[in-house]
Amino acid sequence: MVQGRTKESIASFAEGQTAKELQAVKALVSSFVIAAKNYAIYPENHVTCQNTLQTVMSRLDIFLKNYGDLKIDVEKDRLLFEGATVHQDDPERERLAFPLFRDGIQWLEFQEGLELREISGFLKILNQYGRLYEEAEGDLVTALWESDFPHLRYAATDVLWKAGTVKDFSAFKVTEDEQQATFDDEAEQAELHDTAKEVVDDDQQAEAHRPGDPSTGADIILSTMDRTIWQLTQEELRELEELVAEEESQSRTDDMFDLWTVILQTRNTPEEYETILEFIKEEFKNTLAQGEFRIALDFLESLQKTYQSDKIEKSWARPMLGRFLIDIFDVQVLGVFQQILPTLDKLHIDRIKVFRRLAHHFPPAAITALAPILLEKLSAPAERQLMEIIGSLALKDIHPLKQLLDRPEEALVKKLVYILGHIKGEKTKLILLKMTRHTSGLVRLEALKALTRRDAKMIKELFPLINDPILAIRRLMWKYLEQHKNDEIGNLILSYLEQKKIRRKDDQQILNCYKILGRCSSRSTIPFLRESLLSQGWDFSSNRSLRRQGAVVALLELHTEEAEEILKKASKSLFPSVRSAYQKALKDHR
Amino acid sequence: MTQGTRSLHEDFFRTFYRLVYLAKIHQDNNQLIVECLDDFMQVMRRLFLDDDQIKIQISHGSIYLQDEKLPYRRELESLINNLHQYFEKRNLQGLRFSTVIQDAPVEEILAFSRTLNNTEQEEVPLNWLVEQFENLGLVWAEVVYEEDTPSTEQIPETDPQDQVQKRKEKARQCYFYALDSIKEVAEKISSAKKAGVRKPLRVIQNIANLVLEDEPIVLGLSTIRDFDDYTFTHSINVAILSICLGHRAGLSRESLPRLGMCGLFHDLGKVNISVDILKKPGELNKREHEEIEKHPLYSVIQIIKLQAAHDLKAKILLPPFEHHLKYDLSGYPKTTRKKPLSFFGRILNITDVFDAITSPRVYRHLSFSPDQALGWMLGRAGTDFDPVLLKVFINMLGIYPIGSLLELDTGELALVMDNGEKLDGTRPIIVLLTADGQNGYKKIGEADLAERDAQSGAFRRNIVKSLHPSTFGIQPAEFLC
Repeated sequence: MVQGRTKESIASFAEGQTAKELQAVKALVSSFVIAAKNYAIYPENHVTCQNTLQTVMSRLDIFLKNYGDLKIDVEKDRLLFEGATVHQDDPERERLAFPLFRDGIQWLEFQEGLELREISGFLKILNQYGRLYEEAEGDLVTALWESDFPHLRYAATDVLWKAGTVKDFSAFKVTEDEQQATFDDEAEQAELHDTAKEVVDDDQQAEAHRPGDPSTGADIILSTMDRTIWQLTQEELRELEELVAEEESQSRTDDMFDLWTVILQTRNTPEEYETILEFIKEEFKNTLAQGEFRIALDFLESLQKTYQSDKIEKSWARPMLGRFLIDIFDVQVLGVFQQILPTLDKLHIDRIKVFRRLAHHFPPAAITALAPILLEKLSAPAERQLMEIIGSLALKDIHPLKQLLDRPEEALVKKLVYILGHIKGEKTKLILLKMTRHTSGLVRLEALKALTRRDAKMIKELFPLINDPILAIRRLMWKYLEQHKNDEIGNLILSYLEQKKIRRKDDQQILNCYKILGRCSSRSTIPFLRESLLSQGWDFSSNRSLRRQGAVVALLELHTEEAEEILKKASKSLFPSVRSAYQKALKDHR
Repeated sequence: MTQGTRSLHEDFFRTFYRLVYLAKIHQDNNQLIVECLDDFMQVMRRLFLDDDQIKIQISHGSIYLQDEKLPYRRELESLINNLHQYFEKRNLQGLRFSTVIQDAPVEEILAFSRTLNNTEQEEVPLNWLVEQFENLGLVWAEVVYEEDTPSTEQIPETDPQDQVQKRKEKARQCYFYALDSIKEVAEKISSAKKAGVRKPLRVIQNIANLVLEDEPIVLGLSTIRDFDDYTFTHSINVAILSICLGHRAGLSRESLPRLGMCGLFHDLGKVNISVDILKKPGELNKREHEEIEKHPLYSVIQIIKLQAAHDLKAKILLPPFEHHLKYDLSGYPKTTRKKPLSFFGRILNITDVFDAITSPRVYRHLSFSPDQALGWMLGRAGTDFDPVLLKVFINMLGIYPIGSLLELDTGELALVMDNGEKLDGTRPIIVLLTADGQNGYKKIGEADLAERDAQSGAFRRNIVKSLHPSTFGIQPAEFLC
């Protein structure tokens, strides 16, 4: 490794390299340092990172075109180019040279053809392993090996091992008693001849515990066999290719769960058991994230069988497993559905059904994680299943769902109210009633729909919605009140109309209220209707005519002698406005 | 050389080597051969766009195409080594193709490939090859002689032998680093400390590099036996053999370390088992048997406890769990599974048994010689072992695997150092040994069993039988690596 600039090297540098080249390297390394710093602060796709990355890339591009491959030597606290220092670590700041040195990297070489992804990947590695923790799982060298950047070469020393680790092979003891045999030792040869038999017979240890016919042992020596036996056929080569492709492309999660079932029945300590369960939980989460609901379900069911069986040897294990069966569906685990459910459409009906079955095992608290998924763009079958699942969980415990009703997302709350509307009970009724006062019209409408589907005993509570600013709500109220005509409604409408608080400029609102009044009311409303129709007081409000028309409609609905008498009067009234209102209402009514 | 030219040259060597390799094992109508030939000709055509001939040369440890040296890249190491060995075994400096090859029939090109392959078995390969080219009327191919080698300016300073020595040294270091790493992990686990995988991962990556660079050296390492630290050396040997087998089976470079880690940690669970049981010379009782059969499960638990990313651990758990399950799913631990073993599990299953039954143990002081072991295993293909992978394994190790101890008809004792391809691997290259007078053996030279007596034409040396090195207290790696 170059240790520094000697007189000779300076002279050589002056001859072979220009100061310009050195400047270019310094500028490049400096931009690299900035980029590395940014990668440590911002996410990779942050504009700051992207800008500095581009700077590094363009400087490298220019350098490689002008001068060819760039080799940087690494020392403890500095980087060198052709013996000249091009970067010195500042101990107060993030260091660049030291982590490379720490992991044994001697030099790095950036070669022509270097791509942006390679630089970005290298910066990410620097960020990930810049600081190394005790008992790390890898380092810069292992990460570079894995990344295998085609235009970024490096050399690393075996810095992790102490001198003296490497010994001579003679340090290994071949046999127990350093047995030496002479070639002419016939007894030894005879013994060797029986080797195969011994291996099969004496191999009580597990690693060679392979039962078989001893006679098929050493007598079959490869050199005496027909060589075509181990020649690979074309079909076998293809089979091998398929196996390799399968191994490299798929996870074997189902087999892993088979493993867990066995492992949990193995002797462990409580600490180990806890560790295993934690690991399983993570695996379970990954399985769900891959959409492998069937595997997850099978595993869960087998785990529950184990829990219910007598296969658990240790008394402490059962409560731990019981707790685990509840904890396995925590928010973090269930959160993975947020990614996977939107990918399921009508082509995945079977998987959606399995999801439904899986959901039987969810605790009610799962609603907290599942409900926000309703905001995602889901296929109709997936959304329906999800809503049903949330509903069935809320049936067990309404609280998680109730808490979500305070969320600001209108679309979510609306859907939750819809779900709530399908859950019977006094509790949900009260919640729904509360939701009719929600700031969102859509939520109020959904709550009203749900409540109006239930029973008629909430007329008084729901009546204020007759004056709701949302037309759809008022319409629903008209329909609802019409369906349940009774004195109570009549009185409420009467009171509403008397107060003249109909603020909406909605002709239909007035006419419908009168119409409902007519259907519900008795004789007691006659004075009000007479007044509305025939009175000539000082009321110049814009809806005076409408009120007259409404009164006509109400009187027509009443079908009483008294009502008909008033209508007769109106038809012959001296006042054109009364007659006109009568005629118009009559025409519309017919 | 531009990026495009470099890539084209690499493609040429890849398709060329694949063609001659496939020609060794397949008939002319084989689909793989047909596809490969097509690729080869396409590359040829591209090269002929700029030149009217294509010249390959091997000189001073470097490979040249059109007088341009093939630049080193890590991924090419295996190819470069293979090409070196291929040309060296045929005493061939190079080949030249003219544009006429573009019009040559498929059969002619395949005949050329087979002729080239057969050259290895000839006494004077170059003369024979030239003669064959003439006989076959291959006007588009000719041999390149020494004087045609590229100018000295391009000759690298490194001697190929030096490179081999460096690789051997590197391999030796790797083995001890691996031993140190696995011991450290086991010790930490035993003392209930957290154990990271930085060192094991790094050493396994290095082994994977070595496998890609020089498989025979690494296979030589796998012959190491240590009676006292059996579990550790066994774990390393299984890791090495697994990486080699995985590589031969076609696994990508990225997958090899994962497989190696599975091998290295497959017996980690033995730290949970009493040494008294592990080293019990007598027969184990039922309880002891049951306990020892749990070690794959314990290995899984210990791997889970390692200080490593969940993803990495999850990827190396299953094969250690499966390593005592046979191909037909008998064996242990007992499971209710119906699906076949994982690919890595099948590899481990083969390499674990091979290393175990070729190692002397406290309860079994003699063991199979490598060729006996392979014969024994072949008898269990399809029941105990994946038959296809076992074939790959046997093809990889050869009839006389590296490290096999041979008794020769000359009364000499020899170790196989390269099983080669000569005469179907029945005549490997050997290291001759003789007693050193101090209860040990020393190397007295190397020999090629394919060598014939100039006068009689008979082979100079013949194999009488194979022996087990441990019987003679021989550590093959000492003489091979």
